[in-house]
Amino acid sequence: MAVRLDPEDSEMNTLYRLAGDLSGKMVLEVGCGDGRLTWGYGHKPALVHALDPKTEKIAAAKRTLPPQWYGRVKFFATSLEEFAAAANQRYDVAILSWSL
Amino acid sequence: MPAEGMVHALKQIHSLLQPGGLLIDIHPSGEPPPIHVRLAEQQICVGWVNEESEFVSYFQTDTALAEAVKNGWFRQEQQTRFAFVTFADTLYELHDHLAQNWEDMIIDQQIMTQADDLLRSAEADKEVIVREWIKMTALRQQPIPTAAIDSGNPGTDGKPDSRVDGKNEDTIIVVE
Repeated sequence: MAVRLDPEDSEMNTLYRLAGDLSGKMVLEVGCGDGRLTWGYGHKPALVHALDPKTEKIAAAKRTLPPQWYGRVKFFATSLEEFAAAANQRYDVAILSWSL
Repeated sequence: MPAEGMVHALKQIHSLLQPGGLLIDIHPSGEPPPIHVRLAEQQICVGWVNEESEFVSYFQTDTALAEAVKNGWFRQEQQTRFAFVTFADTLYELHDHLAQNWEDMIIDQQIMTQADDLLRSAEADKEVIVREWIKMTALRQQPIPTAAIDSGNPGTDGKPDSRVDGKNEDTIIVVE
């Protein structure tokens, strides 16, 4: 499909401008969908936990997860409610990705 | 998500962040995105993407964020806007993409027809473009004052917070 999204990287540039350098940070992304935004910044943080209640979107994200990111970037098919109930750690940065 | 649900979600985010952690919220501004057909150097607006909900939820998001700030859970540090632009070679590719990623999106048939006619009028160097204005907000998690914890979990009006459901109570105390 010849669809091109945000070819000037406006979203990622704005994210870095507001969030600063994500290197070494622990990041929680809520509403990650198929990982469209995650792929843009996922190489930097020490840890990324990305969640979305849509199982088919998370399955797609897991399929395209770069092998070198295994263990450091994890996708969860769950709601924020369920994730918060089970979470045993806190994050430096939370990203609400078009999800409220 | 209903407005109360958004505020509840922000409360949960507060409890998931390290003290002084950063929340980045990204959501559309609520302005209907224009659809343009580009034919070489010329761009022609053929209409706007609409939503069944008429973009109400985005304004509710603004309200929920404002409430989270008012409640003392976060301090707004920065807010800005950027254009998220989607390009497609054909209208049908654009429509399929939007339908998969934007649940209650509507493009009127009249707009589809007009765009399709324009695209058919040129052999090459043509595309269809949707430009969405997106808000991005950085909010800093605020600590819960010890005095508020000691005084028994007050709400914004100094009374007990009836919205507290018992879970994570220590992190969702509301004070002004």
